[in-house]
Amino acid sequence: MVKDSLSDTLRAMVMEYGFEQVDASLREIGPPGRPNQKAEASNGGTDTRGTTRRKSKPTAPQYVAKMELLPEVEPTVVELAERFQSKSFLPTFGDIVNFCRLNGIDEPASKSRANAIPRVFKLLVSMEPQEVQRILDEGMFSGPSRLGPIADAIRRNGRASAVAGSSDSLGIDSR
Amino acid sequence: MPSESGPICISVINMKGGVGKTTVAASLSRVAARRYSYRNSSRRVLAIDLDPQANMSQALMGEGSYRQFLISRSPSVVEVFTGYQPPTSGSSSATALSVSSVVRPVSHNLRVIPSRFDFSDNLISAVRPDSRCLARLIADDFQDEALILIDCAPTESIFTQAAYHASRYILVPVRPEFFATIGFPLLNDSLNEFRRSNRGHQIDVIGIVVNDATYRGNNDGGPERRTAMIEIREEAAKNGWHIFDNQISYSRGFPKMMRGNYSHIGNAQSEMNRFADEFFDMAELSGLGLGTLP
Repeated sequence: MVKDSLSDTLRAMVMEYGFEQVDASLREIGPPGRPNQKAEASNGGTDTRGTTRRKSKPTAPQYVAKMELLPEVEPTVVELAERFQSKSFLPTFGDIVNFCRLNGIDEPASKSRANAIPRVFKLLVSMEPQEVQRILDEGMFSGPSRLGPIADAIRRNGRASAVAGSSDSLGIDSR
Repeated sequence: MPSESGPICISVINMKGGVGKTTVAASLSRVAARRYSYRNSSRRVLAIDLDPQANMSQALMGEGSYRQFLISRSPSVVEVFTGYQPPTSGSSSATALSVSSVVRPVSHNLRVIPSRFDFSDNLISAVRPDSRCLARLIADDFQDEALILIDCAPTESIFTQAAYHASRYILVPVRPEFFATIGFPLLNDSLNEFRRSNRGHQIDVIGIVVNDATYRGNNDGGPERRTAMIEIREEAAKNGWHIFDNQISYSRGFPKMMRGNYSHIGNAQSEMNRFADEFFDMAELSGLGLGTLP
């Protein structure tokens, strides 16, 4: 009964916030009566109770730092790795799946962004440098679109046309 | 790698609005591109946005790219119709329109010719907009594409004529509701009129896809939907139009996918794949090599 109720609550939270967010929050809280993992990490991991500490997976910037990158793509890929880490590039696992599918590679088996890092960044370095640059410049694959910036760009374009003082500034004879 | 007979061009049209034309056009483009990608094929899909609301462009390009495209005043389908690139901050005179500047890559196998919100104003104010310019552009510069999908505006206009001139087939999305079939006689009349004026042009309705049908598994939509489906079948039969067996059920994932939100998209992907299997397995489209995965 308690298990069902807990499952329902967790399911609702996962639906609302996504698995990764819920998982991260649970890890942050940690079991009661025990310092949380963040605190442990900030103590330099001085837990001496004999438990085997799992080796943490490299972050995207750490992974990219170990890759052999061509000089023409290195700054772009490094910046994308930073954005991946801050979740402003491929912010959810769903985005990673879409990115992989669009580029014809198998999606990661494990539903974790951290596990998908090698696949994503190997794919990026296999792309044409200008393609990777465009992903960075145009903020592609950065999650859901928002109306605001598009609306602002439309307004900005509209104002620019009005300032130009011409209804045919986009190239048509308006007679 | 182009197909032997050039690209197959399909327009997604219904004279009724809100039936899911953009969702179907954008999703089919993505499915086709993903299938080519999955099969390691170099064949490509071109999506053309002929709707001044530019929703397909926004869906395929995403916020960042579409915003960049607007701000940089890059060429769009507007310039395809006008035929030149107007002076910009980087050029002080009108210049020839370069094809590479008018297409925007979405992925390795998918490109889009985007639309812009001023598309309609531009053409309405033109002296004699040429409805054949899109067909000419495709004939001259896009023969290496495998599939071209055109998303159309829901009204009879020069955009519709341009789509007809460019297309071999018409795909008609429809929702099973009272107003659903109102677009059918309009579309049929419009197509017949086009055929009369363009006797050398073979253009056919490849089929009707029932979109946003109902929740899969929950209910059948009740008597209203059943009545609407009877009307759709009757009207389709009058015009000799095929109805696809696989209906696209409602999914909250579709609007999320249009926004570029791929987390928890529910059954949207599988719904579209199911329809795409039937669609691309059709004999008329078998040359595309996009049929059901083994």
